[in-house]
Amino acid sequence: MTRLAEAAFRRPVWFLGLSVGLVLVFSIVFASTATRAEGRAGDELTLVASAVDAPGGPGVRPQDPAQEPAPAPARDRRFIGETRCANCHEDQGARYSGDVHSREWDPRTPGAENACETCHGPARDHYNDPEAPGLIRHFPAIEPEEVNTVCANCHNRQEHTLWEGSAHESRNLSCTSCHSVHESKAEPLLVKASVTDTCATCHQQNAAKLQRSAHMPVNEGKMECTSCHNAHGSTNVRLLRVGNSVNESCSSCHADKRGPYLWEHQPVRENCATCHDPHGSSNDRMLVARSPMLCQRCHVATRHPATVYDQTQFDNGNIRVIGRGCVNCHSSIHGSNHPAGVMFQR
Amino acid sequence: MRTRPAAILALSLTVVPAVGSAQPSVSGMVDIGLRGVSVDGDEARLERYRDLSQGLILDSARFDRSGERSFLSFRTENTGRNDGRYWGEYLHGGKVKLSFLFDGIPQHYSYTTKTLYTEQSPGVLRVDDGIQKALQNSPAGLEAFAANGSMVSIRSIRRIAAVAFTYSANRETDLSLKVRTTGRVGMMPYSVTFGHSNAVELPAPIDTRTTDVTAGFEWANNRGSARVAYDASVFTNYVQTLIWDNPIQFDDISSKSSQGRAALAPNNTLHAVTATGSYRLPVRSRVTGSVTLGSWQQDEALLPFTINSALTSPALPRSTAQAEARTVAMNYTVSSRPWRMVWLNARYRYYEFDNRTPEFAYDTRVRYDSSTSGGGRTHPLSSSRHQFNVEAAVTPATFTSLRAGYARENVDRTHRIFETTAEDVFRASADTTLAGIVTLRGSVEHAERTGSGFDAEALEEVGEQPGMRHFDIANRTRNRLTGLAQVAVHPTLTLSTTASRGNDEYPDSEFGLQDSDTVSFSVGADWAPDDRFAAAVSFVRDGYDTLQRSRSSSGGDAFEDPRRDWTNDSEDRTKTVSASVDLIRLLTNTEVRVAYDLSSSRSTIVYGFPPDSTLGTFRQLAPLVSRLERATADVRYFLTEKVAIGGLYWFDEYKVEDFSLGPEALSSMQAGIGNNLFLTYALRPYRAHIGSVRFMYFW
Repeated sequence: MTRLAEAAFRRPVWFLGLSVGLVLVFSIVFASTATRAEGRAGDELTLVASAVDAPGGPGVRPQDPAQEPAPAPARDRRFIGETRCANCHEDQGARYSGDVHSREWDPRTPGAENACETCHGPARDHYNDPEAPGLIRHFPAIEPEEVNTVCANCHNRQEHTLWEGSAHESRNLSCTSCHSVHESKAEPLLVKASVTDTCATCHQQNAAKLQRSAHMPVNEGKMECTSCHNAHGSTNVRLLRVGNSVNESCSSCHADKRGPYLWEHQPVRENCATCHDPHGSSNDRMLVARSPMLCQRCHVATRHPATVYDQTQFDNGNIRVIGRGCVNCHSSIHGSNHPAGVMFQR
Repeated sequence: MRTRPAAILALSLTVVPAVGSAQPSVSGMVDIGLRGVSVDGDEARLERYRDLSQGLILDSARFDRSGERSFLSFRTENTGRNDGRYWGEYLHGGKVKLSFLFDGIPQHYSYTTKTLYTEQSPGVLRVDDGIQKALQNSPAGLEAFAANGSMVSIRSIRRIAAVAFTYSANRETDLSLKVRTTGRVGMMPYSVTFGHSNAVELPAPIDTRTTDVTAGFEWANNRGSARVAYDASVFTNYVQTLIWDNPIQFDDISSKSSQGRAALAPNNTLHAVTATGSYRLPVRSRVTGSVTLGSWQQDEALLPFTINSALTSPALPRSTAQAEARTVAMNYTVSSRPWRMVWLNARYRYYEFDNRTPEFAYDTRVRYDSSTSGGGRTHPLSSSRHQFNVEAAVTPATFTSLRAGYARENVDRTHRIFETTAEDVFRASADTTLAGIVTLRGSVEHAERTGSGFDAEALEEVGEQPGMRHFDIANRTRNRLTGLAQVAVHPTLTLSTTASRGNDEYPDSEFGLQDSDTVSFSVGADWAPDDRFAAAVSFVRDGYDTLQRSRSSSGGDAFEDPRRDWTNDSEDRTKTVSASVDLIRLLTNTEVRVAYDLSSSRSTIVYGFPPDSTLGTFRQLAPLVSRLERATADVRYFLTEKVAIGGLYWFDEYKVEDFSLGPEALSSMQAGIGNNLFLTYALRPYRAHIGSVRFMYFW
């Protein structure tokens, strides 16, 4: 490892801060320069449309836009318009007309461009020969990456910014794994009847935990998987939507646990999920194990932390185990701001 | 769980605002009715995060208006009740987006708890002086007084209000502002102590507000993007001090206080600035970078060491917490598809939590407001986390991907038993869809975590066994295996199954968690032959086993005596069943939706001892049982295209056996009341029947 790299790894703040600054400047300057060079006709939607007509025919993955020739202006003769599409694809046309994608007055929608053909590509050849294969972009038949490229031409900001390189992209998922423009069953254009059902297609174990007796208010309709996770990618671990650590995500709602405190409980400060399972648990307060056993995983010092708490202790109502167990006394377990809070009892 | 099927479907399927048309249009619906509830058992548990009050209900309503260049939407759920939600948005010309949300989330703990305390002022809970005087010299009478305590419902509610505004200056540029404020008021069960044989459980007040503001500037096109955002979060606790009477002590004496005082959550603030940029590079590559600089602050006044007037409160080293942390988070990702079949990804993630809180050192402290103890110091934890991750995938066929990856994570920490931990993670996965019929996904992961810079004094300082290794940072070997198979046996019928197995072993932990195993298996089926019929069923079985080791001692020779070792072998088994059937106008003008959910878990905890144990005999713990079962039937009959009537029946049952918090613990709480006072908050079973008749109008 070079000295520069070593220094960056040890104390990378200045080094990497400078890097991201350069990335920002680089992004704006070069991308805007490229946009100006292409002009209006070279916008991303038209680029997608041109990909269908690229050598190799439809379904062939699009070339790098930067290497493509300037596309033909929109509204050329290759396009036939949504009315003609809907003549044959009546159901799809009906769903499209009730969808956000059809808003002609919003310049960021397909409706403001070439409607159906914005995503499916110019349809003239397909219109002339409907039975011929490969003349139109049919999403179920094309590669996930091409699907994602088409969608990302518009969905390239906000929560979609970090899709490339994300966990779901790495597993070869596409936008249409979860969304369907023409056959959605719930908002936002999901293929299943709810966000939870959609996620449960693969994450059945976590979805099942939501049914346990101690759970977040997901079944009650107050939260959904996307309240905490951004399936499109994030800077946080586990695709968490907010913050840059598990605790930053949790404390975005549970700010009373945020601190910093005078007295910190070290594992709490590091990761809420050390003790809690946010998807649900059969233990009270969504603990991964019940008290006092959970606490005894780290505390086996002399006297009561290392005691065998058998059934007799519970039957006799020992204050150290009955009710909420250790927290009966160590009530400020998330941290204490009391000068005598060393044991989190104040 | 589909307790709101009608609302969900109404929102998802009936929204056809014809936004593509040039002509303005209006659509909407309203769903009103009458509800009856019959509950046998713990009503608060049934209502946990809901308001299931009886009578007139406005279950949901929606209004959408599409104009020539605008769209307006307003929706409500549970209108007028504590769990009511109201939200809407207004879009205009692709330039302006304005949305709002007002939501209520109740949290019900118990309606049957009893207490001797009354709130004299916010955060000050008093017991009648006569009771304190009567019990001062004969605390055994506490149980009798407790039985005559006042009934108190323990619950709280969050009320969230949020407004978001986005102005799109042009096709690439957005300016956005979001403001969200959450107020929470109510009570929660909170236990405090005057020593380990004198604890009291209180209905502690909650009165907090969290206000979050995010302001951002974003520029994006399909080549690159840049975003700069500022986030602020301000948490305010209007009751930061809890003062409560000691029910068995009226006069302050040096060994026992007549009252206690605790610090509740302090006010705190968070400020963060984030810059994110991404740019598309040649050869189908993209680089993304993000930096967040954060500042966390908490500088609330510190309470004196004790409220006991018979003790001299030691001088405070400083008057306020002066707690402060700076965070730095950075993410850099390079993702590339240099060739059609190859996907490469490299990511570096850095997160630093730099706790700048000055150490708080003292010579004497007061324990439980009842006795003095020796000196000590705080341990402001800091950590910095470096994670480097590389992955490569090949796509030999259109819908097939084979991936391999390696990740290295180094974490440096202060005030923990290991100065540094390093983890190497190797993972591989395979994903394929064959002919659009069979989908197979599988992944394996192997990880080795090793700590270095072991600090034996950190354990010695708290009298811990030197062989203890805290499991969240201990040396660990982790293996994970997951698999998923989906088969579309017919275009309308999909069968699926998943299986996973995981194992964590802590080979160098003499005490503490030794290992944990997870096993999960699921099967499911979805059948939707047409738009009029849909059925789904799934079964999930989860297992979670752990083994932990301890040594029972009170110091001296026993501290090193292996004959005093014991183990705790825990097994959790949970079965989850979900099933639903939707009949949408299969019968004339009739929609029927039926759903069933069951979560049933059973846990056992078995103590183990060495053959030459000197600890004596122990009674093993009774199994723990938790069973939550729900069934709903929702029927709607359309009298006309716009008018429907219907009914909803909902069965809900909760069964629990729990030696520390279940119904059996109530008697234990009473038996063990001694000098302790419980609210008798517990997990209690319930069985509920809920029915409603409804009227729906669509326009």
